Amino acid sequence: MHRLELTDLNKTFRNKTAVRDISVSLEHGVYGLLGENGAGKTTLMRMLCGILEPTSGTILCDGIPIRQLGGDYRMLLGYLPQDFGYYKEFTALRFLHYMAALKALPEEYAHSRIEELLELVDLTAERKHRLKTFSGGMIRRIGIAQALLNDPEILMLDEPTSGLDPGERVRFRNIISSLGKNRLVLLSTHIVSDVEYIADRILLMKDGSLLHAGDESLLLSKAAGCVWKCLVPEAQVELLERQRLIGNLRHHGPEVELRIISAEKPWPEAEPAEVTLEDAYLYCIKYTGRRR
Amino acid sequence: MNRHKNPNRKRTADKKGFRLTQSIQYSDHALKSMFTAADALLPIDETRRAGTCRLLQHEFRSRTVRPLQDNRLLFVSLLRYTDRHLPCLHLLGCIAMLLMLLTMSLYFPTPQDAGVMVFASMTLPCFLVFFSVFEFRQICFAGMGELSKTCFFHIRQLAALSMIFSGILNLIAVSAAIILVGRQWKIRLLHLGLYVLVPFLFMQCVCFGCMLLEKIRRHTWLCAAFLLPAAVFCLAAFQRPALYTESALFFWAAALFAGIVIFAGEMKLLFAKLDKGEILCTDWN
Repeated sequence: MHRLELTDLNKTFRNKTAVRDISVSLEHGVYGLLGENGAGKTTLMRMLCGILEPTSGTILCDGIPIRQLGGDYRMLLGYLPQDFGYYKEFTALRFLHYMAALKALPEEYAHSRIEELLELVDLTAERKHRLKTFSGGMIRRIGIAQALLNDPEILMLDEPTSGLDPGERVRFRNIISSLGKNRLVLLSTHIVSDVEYIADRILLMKDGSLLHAGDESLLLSKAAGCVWKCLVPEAQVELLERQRLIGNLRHHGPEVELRIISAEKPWPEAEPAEVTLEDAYLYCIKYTGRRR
Repeated sequence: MNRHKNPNRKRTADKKGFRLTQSIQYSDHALKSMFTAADALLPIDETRRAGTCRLLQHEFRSRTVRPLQDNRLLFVSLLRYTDRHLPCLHLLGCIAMLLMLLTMSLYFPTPQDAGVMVFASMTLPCFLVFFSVFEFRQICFAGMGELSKTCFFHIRQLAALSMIFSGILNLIAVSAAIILVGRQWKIRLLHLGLYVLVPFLFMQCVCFGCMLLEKIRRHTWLCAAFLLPAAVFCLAAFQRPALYTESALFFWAAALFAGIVIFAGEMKLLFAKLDKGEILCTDWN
């Protein structure tokens, strides 16, 4: 098992700071990386994978800078980018063989591993189909397969479940969850429920900074007492939407059931509700951290 | 994981019955600064430090037992599965260029046609540069770059491999063109070599210069729009008869040297940018 240590990590592109002052240690287990679009999740992942060079700060793997480890570090790594390029004329089988060659896997090992992974991602029947004929979900699945080719001890997945249907999502959640037992999995997603089900620890990013790093209960405790449920007349909804952060809205005849995240009681008849991860996420994003 | 937790420590009752209650609160940052300040006073033996780093790396390697292919087999399997469309097109391009020169030699066989043939042998190899650029572009900027930078066989190595392959192919084709034209029209090979290599290198510099510019790199058509005027300029510039006298040879040699220096500089910049990684993934969030 390996340990990644990030110290004062910064990344600036021209005049935009994508990641600022991130210091955190990652060990084995599944880490859910949450944040809005543009929060810096992908940049952070790319730096952890060695794709991008940090503007300042260090990333150590077991105490050694990852740049210094070079190929040794990349041997440990499995990465699924948010949008990955592929040669459209390649069949699924050839693409995986090509990736296995890039990962320096021996031919025999690659053969058996590819068959195993095609089975895992349910693409055995399409193994000889060209990638250009694949749907978005199928491409995602082939992407997950290539990330797992070298049985990585550090697995970085950028939006792995986007584009997958609910059944596939559940299946992948279980796969990722089981992978996290004895390796480090960093999973970036917009889907809070994915993180809720499988992540041991949650990293919450906003405007390039890390707002929270810890387990779910700690994040939930931040929003404790700030989640309310109430039934309001439809005419009042717009006003409340302007004043408060609405987590959910559901119509019940002439009235609307609202789930409101607010430090104060937002409506006279509002009742406190149990905090979910989604509420805590919204609370932290709205009320904590910095704005650029 | 909770890095924000502040340690509260209470000391109570020493042996003399003197009660001391002290609450010390340090933030992580303050503690870190204190450790850094204390560490700064320690003398560091650079030799021992390097030795420890080597030991750590050895330890790291011994723990990462992974099936790894040897270099020869790795190269073979890479060649087996890599995309061969563009290299094959490149090869066809080289053959087509030589065939064109051969066909022209049938239509312009007399010594008076030497000028036409020299100009043709200067122009046609320039088109081979496009294949080199497209091969490089496909490896680095067609979306696979980001993924292959996380693999054992690195993007830098892939790009270098592509450059070496297309370079060898181009050199063979250009050398064949020089020998073919030089022999038939009795032109000194050294002179003809300079005449052919200078515009070839000029186009190579323009093409790889385009690869350094973000906007042009991303759009094939913008790239072509830049290259076409460069090619026309090149053709127009080399049509002056004064350039082909003995005394102008120094100019050709100087131009070739400058071209080599510029090209090497561009390559260094491009590979440095590949290492930095930003050109492999332009969306920054």
